[in-house]
Amino acid sequence: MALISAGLKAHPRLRWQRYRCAITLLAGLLTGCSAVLPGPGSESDTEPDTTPAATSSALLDSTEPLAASCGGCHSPSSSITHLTTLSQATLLQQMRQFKSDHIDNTVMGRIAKGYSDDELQRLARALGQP
Amino acid sequence: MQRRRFNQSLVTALTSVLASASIPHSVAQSAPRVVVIGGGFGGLTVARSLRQLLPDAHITLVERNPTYTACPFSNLVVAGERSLAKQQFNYTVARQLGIHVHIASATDIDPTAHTVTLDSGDTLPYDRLVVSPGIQLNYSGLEGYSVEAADKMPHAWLAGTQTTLLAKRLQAVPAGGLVVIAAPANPFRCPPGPYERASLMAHYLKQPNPTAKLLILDAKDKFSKQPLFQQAWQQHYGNMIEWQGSSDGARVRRVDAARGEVETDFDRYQPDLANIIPPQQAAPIAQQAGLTDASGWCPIDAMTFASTLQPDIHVLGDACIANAMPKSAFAANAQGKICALQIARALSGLAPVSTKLINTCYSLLNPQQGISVAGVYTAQGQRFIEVPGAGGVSDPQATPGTRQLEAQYAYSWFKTLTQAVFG
Repeated sequence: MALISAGLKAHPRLRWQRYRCAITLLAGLLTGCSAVLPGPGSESDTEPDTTPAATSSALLDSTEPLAASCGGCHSPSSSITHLTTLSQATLLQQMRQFKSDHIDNTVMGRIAKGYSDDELQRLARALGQP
Repeated sequence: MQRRRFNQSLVTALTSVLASASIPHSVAQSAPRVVVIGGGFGGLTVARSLRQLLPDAHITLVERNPTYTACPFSNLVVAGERSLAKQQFNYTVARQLGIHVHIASATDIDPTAHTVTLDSGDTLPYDRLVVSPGIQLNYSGLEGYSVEAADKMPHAWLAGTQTTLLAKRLQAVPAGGLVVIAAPANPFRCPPGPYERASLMAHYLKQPNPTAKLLILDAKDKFSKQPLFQQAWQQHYGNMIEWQGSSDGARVRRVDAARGEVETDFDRYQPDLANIIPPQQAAPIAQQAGLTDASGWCPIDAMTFASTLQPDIHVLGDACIANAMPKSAFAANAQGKICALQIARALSGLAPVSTKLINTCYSLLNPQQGISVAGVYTAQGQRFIEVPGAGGVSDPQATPGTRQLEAQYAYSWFKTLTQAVFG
């Protein structure tokens, strides 16, 4: 616990991250495709430097860690299904069918069984189109 | 806007707290500095993910080689099915993303001063350090084996010149010759790797040298995807591949490279080609920095990848002890994303989040047919456990069509992963 609580000291110069940036970043970071990010010199640079780290929580909190591993296989350039082209509803339905072995598949049935229905819903929200 | 006002009042409160806290001046006055040692699938993933999560952070990557040679799929190079060039990547994109890349060896870490010393003479200060240096071969763990011996008895377990050497030596095996593969005890990099290698070597030998024999001398009694491999060996290669485990006395205990001898607990062989995969441990910098325990690997807190031995240092990939999670490129990439998120959260004053990670390892039975093992993992206490009821290996009854699909997925996975990390 000492290690974890030591990490809670906020770094003072992390800047304000815009909420909308979080949404763009989400799919990109976690599925491996490139997200459109404000680069150096973009408007985020005009935010006051004094804004400390705590405000970047929007970006970090909206990053769905459960989806991090999916980008290992799924990407736009892959012959494996590109997740972010699917609707959230389709994605959720397919993951449920993988989990219950209702779709003939190779590896997804084995993977989907590792997640609760609540977690599958979180994955669908993070990866699919609204 | 309500939320933002709330945040800004939080900011004011926090600023005053920080002002009174004893944070070193140098840290308080600059963007957070994260140094990553190791430009492989784990380290570069951390660097790139942090670049996105913390756009203002100063991120430095330290990597010894200007060209990275990937291990996954290198067994195809051994079998003459792929060029080594297809395994090679560089750090051009990392630099374009604003990651400061140092092509140098990290020679020293000072956990107290929070500095990394490079063989180039540079000293890099850090607020957080990520160590993802991969493995080193533990030559002293196998009597008679050494860097020199590996010229005669290649390991090809660090991809590069050793891979092409093994390929060349395979092509030179005489008609009806004997190839020995010595497989190490757990844990080691890429648990199904020696058995995929046997499959692809047999695939190569089958045409020009059908009477050659492949003997796997294993230091353990069972191995990854064992029933699937053994079924496939019988089906595709007849009796060409024989496996012996430690109960059969097959653990290799000594080699003599000059005489070309491989000695097990019970027998002595003089093969035409010996592929010796020796025991392994975390790379030297991890040992030097006091990040390893008696096992030679790095204990971590499974949720954050924080070293349990040194402060403000995270270890991931093959070098860390991830318990149920195997040492694979897929695992290192998944770990890298989560490690980056946890570091970004910590630097932002947020508690770590609990999550689940996936590993999937594909193995080729021949260039057109593949099998897989998958698992879902989560942190329980400081350890990774496998989520019960999930994971496992390909269906033993799967059709040839499914095996072909898994091979296609394997190729696709490699392309996706290398593109995401290096491209």
